[in-house]
Amino acid sequence: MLSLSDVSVNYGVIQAVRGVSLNVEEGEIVALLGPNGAGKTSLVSSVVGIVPVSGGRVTFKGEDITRVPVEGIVARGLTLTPEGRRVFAGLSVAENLRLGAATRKDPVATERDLNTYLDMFPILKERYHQTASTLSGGEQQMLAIARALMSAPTMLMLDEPSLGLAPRIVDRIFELMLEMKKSGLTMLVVEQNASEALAFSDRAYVLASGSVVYEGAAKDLAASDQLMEAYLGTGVA
Amino acid sequence: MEYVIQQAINALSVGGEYALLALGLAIVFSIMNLVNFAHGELITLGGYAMFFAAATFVGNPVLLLPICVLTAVVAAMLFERIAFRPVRNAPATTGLLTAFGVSIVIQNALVIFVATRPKPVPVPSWMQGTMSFGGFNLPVVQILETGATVCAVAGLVLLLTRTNLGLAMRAAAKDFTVVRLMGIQANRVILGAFAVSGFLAGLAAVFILARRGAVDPLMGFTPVLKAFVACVLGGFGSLLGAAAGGLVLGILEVVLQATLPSDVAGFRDAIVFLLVGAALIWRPTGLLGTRAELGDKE
Ligand SMILES: Nc1ncnc2c1ncn2[C@@H]1O[C@H](COP(=O)(O)OP(=O)(O)OP(=O)(O)O)[C@@H](O)[C@H]1O
Ligand SMILES: [Mg+2]
Repeated sequence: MLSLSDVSVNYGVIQAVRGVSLNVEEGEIVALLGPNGAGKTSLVSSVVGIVPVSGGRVTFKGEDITRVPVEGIVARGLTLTPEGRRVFAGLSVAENLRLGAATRKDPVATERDLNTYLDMFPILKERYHQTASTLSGGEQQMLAIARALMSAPTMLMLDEPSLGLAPRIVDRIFELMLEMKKSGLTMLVVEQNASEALAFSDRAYVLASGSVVYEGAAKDLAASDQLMEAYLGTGVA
Repeated sequence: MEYVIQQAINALSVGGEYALLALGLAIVFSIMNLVNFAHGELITLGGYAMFFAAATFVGNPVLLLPICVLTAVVAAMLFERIAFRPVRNAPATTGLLTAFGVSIVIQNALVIFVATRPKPVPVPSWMQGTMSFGGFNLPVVQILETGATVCAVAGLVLLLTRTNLGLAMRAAAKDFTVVRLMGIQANRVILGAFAVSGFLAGLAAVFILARRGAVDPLMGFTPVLKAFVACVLGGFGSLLGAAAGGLVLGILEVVLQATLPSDVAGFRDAIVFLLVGAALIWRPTGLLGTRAELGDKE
């Protein structure tokens, strides 16, 4: 569904991503792991077009989207919940969700999706008319995910959805992602929380200093203390 | 008593005019980080459109009013499309210089192709009269201007809270990248903001021209300066601040005009700016500005 070949991202002279090739098949959850500064955010940002791709090719559903502007990529069904959530703090929960669906032309389906997600994230229903800035970190993350889902994507990239959240909330968010997978959503998840992310992912890539250093089945990586230790520094204590 | 009421409506109408102009500046600034100093030229162009329309095919002066507003809207959108879009991602100073450039080009084009001397602009004669309002005789222009300002601000609030375009504008003022991540076209949001700013400038222009009765190439300078001061006073980037700043500035001017002894009345603007400066020392972010609103751009 999504395919990157030899993608690079540069910020001036800094090379944040160096020739990454990566595939995500329809219906998969793929984890993108790696230490701080590995280039994970840069990679997903370049895929969705909010930072320019400096080299290589990105295709989505067989179509080259390397130079397509953000709006066009989202219109094709690929979106991102950005690092740090970035909900519109001054707007209400309702307004945030409405903006997520702003470009949709199917009011009936939009309304149905809204109800689906409000049931999926009951806290958003409870806080529906409240300003987003009054939500807790976990609630804001749920809002960010629901807002992205309101644009009816076929594939969602999530940049560190568990960042700064209590373990209980993290578990809840990962559960929700499995639910979304069941309803047919394809996902690429950037995570620092390696072992947890691997538990619900199908495959994983490990990025270090801008390059892919490991790719394989999530359970192989999770099962190998050696690999975990080597790439993620989180194996046997 | 009549004098007090007259001065009050005068203050409201001047304040309303500044508020309309300041809102136009603020709405563009909040989204693009651009101080559009060519905003005053929208008034000038609206005025010339009225002049040319009256001189050629429009007999009824009432029709000149929508022509003025429409011209300002179209001109604002053209500014965006032709001048500001190409430099959108350039540093803020480039945008500022572009705005000055647009302003200078338009002023000089009018000087060269039309005339330096003021041209008459006919407005409906009833606009220049007075009307009896609750037993007081008040100038029609001022009543209309106050009313139009209230309606425009109400309309703006509805636009910003009820429509997707308005919501997107508010969101874009805080985090444009994420607005684009919602699939919303950045170009449309920005063009929309310019159209709104043009509409507000056009509305103010109608009343400015009704007062002056003439248009000249440099007439946009003073209004845009006042609007800028109003924005700074209210807190740059804050729409509520712009409206409040405009109102306060207008009221201040009228109060000083009415109370200063005649031998210092000539220093009115200097005194106004001194008071604004003092207000900014007291509250450097402006009356309603907050740090977040001023600096919370990515
Ligand atoms: N806008 C930018 N300008 C310059 N350098 C940047 C920019 N954004 C990121 N970088 C650099 O690019 C490299 C990769 O950063 P990136 O944010 O993609 O890493 P990351 O894997 O997401 O890290 P983290 O886990 O901390 O979020 C880092 O060295 C970072 O300093
Ligand atoms: Mg990151």
